[in-house]
Amino acid sequence: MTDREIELKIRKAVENTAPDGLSKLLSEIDDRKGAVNIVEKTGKRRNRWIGIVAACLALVLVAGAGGFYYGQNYSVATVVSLDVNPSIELRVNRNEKVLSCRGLNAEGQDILASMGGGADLEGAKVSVAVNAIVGAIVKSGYLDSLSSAILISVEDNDTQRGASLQAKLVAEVDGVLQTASSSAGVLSQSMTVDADLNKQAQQNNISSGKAAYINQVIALNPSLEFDRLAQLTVEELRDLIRLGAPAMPIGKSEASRIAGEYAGVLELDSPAGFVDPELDDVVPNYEVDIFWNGREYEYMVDAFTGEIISGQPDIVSREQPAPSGTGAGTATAVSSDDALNAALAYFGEKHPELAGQEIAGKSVEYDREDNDYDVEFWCSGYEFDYDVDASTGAVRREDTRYVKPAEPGTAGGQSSGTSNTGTPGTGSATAPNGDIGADAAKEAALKKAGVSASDAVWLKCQREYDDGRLEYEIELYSGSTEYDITVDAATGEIVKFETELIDLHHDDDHHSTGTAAQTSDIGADAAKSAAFTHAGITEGQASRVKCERDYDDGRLVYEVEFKSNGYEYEYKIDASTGSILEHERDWDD
Amino acid sequence: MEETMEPEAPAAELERLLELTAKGDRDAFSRLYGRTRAAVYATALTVTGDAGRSEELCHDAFLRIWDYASSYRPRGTPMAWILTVTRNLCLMELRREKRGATLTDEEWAAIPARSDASAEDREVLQTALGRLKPDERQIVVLHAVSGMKHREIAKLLDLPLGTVLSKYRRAIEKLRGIMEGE
Repeated sequence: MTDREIELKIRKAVENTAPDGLSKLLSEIDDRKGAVNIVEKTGKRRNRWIGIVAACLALVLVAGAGGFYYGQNYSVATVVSLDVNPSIELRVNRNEKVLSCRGLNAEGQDILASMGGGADLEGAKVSVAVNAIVGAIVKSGYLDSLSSAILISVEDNDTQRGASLQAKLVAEVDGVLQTASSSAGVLSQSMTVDADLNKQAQQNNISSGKAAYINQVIALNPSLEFDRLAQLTVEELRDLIRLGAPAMPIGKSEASRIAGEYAGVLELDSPAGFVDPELDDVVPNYEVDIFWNGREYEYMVDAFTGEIISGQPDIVSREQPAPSGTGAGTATAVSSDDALNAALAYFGEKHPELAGQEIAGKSVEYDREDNDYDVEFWCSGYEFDYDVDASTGAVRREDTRYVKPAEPGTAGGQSSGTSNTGTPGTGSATAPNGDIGADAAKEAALKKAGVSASDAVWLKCQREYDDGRLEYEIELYSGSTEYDITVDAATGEIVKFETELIDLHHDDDHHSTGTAAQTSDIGADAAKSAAFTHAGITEGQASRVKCERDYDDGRLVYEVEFKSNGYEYEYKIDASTGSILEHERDWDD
Repeated sequence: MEETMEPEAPAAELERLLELTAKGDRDAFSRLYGRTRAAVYATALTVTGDAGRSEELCHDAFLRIWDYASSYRPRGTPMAWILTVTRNLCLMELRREKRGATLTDEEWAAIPARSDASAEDREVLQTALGRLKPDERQIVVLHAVSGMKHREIAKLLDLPLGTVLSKYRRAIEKLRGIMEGE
């Protein structure tokens, strides 16, 4: 029986017994509103906002002075809050006019300082006020980073009115950000008034909207504490939810402290630090820029463990003063934002024919092994893939791939891969529309890996569609190398080839000899003897003795099993110390 | 016998379904449910060891997926995201009961009470999988049902890849022995 057949049996059994609860689910989701909607936008340039924001503010003043109109209704119908790191709350009447506006935290109060602490906005239409506030937030640099985010919350017991205002404000904020070329994400939610939530919010100087968002994080992981989450920015909270809230991030100030200590500048007053949370990177991290002696040093700090991922230690003692006029020194690493911008700039130069076309699905991933960023996006039916050097910011490679939408009745779209020479718009090469079959795919994989069929241990050979192309995804290992190979099912061409060194040490009997294989390994005989001693028997009293050396959570162990006196014994023994880690005794049936 | 399994739900399709679900598309959510129901259920089953509780947790996990679909960021790993959400929910449930996140061998009750599972399915689920250790079971079932790679499973379970591979091989060998009637 092959591995695949065993897996098929398991899959079939689970599929056959998994309960079908769809109709119950569908009836329940009717009562639920999607918690938070995220509107993702494209952003190309930064720092062009000054004129635009001035225009926004001018608009407010005109609206505020000219239309200074308190309706008949002074009672609060809706509470709108804006959260980035600054938290600002607007109380609004049923005619959508602002009754009051205040900053809930110090950053929020700073933003409103130029608007009479919020008083200037009273009487203005809420959309106009929000426009002005977001303009000011952009101007203060809070939404500069590509991955930054703003949360708009609308609290209203009239859910229909709340939802309609939510949509209006999202469009307004989206417009401001687009004009300002900010690529910040816009999150929005509408909710009904909740006294408990308001209390929780007040205690932490945040808006009820942010409190509701924090509760979503806690719903994913109840061990996280509300007051610590309240310190995080909306961007950090959003990314934490995206990650499934595995743990509490260390936070920006702790990241800054750790990087400062590592850089040896903690004791100095001069270095200014800028911290950008990158929880959505492959390794979630905080990017800390430290400016010292005319240079910029970049550090990546693991967002959950606080471990330094990259960056120069002790810069004060190592570095000579920077040559004047050079700006950032050579120590500057490239941020993911820079990498994306470099790829976009390269794209712009290389493909003027696509100017103005929408760019979608941007992603940037850091590859620690190659020390580069893998930047991807879509434009005009093409997938663009760039490798950007993480030290220099230079584009090392460009791949473009035309992806034809799959047509009904065919095996899927076809694609043509080109390297460096790809010119979108010139059409795609056609490949024969066939399937070479699993055997041929495996053969191609073995050939590429230089492994003979007898040495290969197959983990997977699976036919899959990827970007409209039929492929075989193959995983195998041989010796201590795992191969991950993708073969084009139509042509047999190797599409992807990756290897990884692994520690296997499994099951092979020759690993279980009595000789210690390494200095910290007591050997199988000693392991067995430890187990027999613990069980209170001699080796002669044991039958069907099995002893296997294995890695368990990175630790070398011996797993010893035997039968004796009507019992079945199982031991797990630490291979370096001989101590018993786990033991079990069962009736031998 | 050499064969390939039916192509599993390709990541791009799951991503599209998640995206539509985020916009409140019930049809897309239903299709997503059809595509991932077994994997979500299998995850709950291997964490809790109990078919009845897994049914409830599977339901809760999909409610959560409905609520949070908009927070998924397309990066080619929709199944990993869905199963992370599921697994967190299950672990949370176990913590709430203060049972810890570990399962002992006796607690494996894989056949739902109201089930007309065939004899073979019962044999595979209860008897064969029941003879594996909880972590071996989790790895082999996730690999078989979700179609995730060992590397992705290692990440999901927060285990070194080498450990996942060796436990997987051991589980498969045990199952082969059992299924071939050793």
